[in-house]
Amino acid sequence: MALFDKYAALIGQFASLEATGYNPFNVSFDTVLSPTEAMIGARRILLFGTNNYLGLTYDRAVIEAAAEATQRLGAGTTGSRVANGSYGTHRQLERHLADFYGRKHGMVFSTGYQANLGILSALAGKDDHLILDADSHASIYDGSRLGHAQVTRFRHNDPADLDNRLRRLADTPGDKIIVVEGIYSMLGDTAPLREFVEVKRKWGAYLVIDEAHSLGVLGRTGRGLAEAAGVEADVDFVVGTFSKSLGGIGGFCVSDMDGFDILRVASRPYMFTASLPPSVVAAVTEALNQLRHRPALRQQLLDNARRFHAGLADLGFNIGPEASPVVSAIMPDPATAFTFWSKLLEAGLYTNVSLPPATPKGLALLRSSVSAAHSRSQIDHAVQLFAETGRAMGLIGDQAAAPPEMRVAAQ
Amino acid sequence: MPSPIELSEDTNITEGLGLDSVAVMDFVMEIEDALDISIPLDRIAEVKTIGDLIATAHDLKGVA
Ligand SMILES: Cc1ncc(COP(=O)(O)O)c(C=O)c1O
Repeated sequence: MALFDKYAALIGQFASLEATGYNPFNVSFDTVLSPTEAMIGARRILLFGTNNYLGLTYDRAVIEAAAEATQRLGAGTTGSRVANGSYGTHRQLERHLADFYGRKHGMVFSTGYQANLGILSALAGKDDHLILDADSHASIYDGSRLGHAQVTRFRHNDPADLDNRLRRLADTPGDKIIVVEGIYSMLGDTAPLREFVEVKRKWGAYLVIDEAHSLGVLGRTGRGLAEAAGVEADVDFVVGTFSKSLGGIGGFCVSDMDGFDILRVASRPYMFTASLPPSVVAAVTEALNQLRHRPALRQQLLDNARRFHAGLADLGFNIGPEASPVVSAIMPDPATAFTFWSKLLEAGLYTNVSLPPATPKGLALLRSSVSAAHSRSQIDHAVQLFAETGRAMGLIGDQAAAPPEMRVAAQ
Repeated sequence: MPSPIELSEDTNITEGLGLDSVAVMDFVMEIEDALDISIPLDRIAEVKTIGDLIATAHDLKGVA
């Protein structure tokens, strides 16, 4: 019995993907040219599978801030926030985030994944209850397991099921903490937040929302779904990441809860890992500044999302109803998803393959995401490649789609 | 139509019923609805057979 025998099935699947020469879980870009283009070897690839929603990775001011911070404060902090790794700039970023969200407190983590680990494991104690949307991101599930609370999940985006779960717990002692996401990363759908808030109030529960994919995307000022739904006062904790619309790495939590700062010495994923390097803190601080002061970026993103979503819908792909920056085409099975994905990459278009158990309802998805940095012609080119590949594979019909100008006008 | 399956307390829920991990979650949700209980995730992880499921449900319902 060898150590890795338990992975026999996975090893088989991985090997067969490697054998095709195109393994979606093992792509690396040799050069990145811009938020929307990269090179694999000598081939130029159009990127439609990043989370670079606002295209800020190459923003001049963001890059300059990172370079300047490295010169001034060094390459890394070599320590945790509770030891030698807290710099003035970490504190400053926390204040900027709190200010942006209009909250009293902010806390920065080294990744978005760790923000969920750190917040969920610390908020819910042994006698408390975490109630998760069933389609929650892995970091929410892992964070729940890291703590000692009882964890149950409710049907995805189903306020009536959440209500049932809280009713069953009504006579059980302990705090009840509901966890939902703003935009779900697999299908791009949003939570029915107003209904969730009603249920939360009815049972006196707390509400955590992970705005990982909705920060900079939704809401009048880009704060996310809670802002868009007008329910921010009822959201107790907002968690998010710097790795998507802000183009960096790191995570955060903001809240108005009195005593919030005790989490700094209670949350193990905050305490027992090194803090973000100065370059990242400076880049994210500047990216947040851009997000706040350039609402046109968000408008451009939404225009692009609508154009791409309409393009794929008109071709007859089975995609979600909401035109969000995440656009996933439902494939009949994993093998088709892989073939489709590799044909697109051969044609110079990078997208993502998403498979169960990471996907809802066991779906095989060809996932794309749109950036504010995509040009109209890049979007139309991507739609064209979807059309050619989809027809060649018999996934969609042959009728010519309406030209893009007409589609967008008709919306 | 797949051939009918004879169920017993020893029937393994994944292999015996031919359910993958996603289908098991849906199956558990249906049981939760029918019995008006919520089975915590750590308890679900311990359930392998129909018998385990019955015992867990009894326990959560407070039935001996
Ligand atoms: C909903 C959600 N939460 C958290 C994360 C983790 O963020 P990060 O990749 O920045 O660690 C992600 C993405 O990976 C996500 O989609």
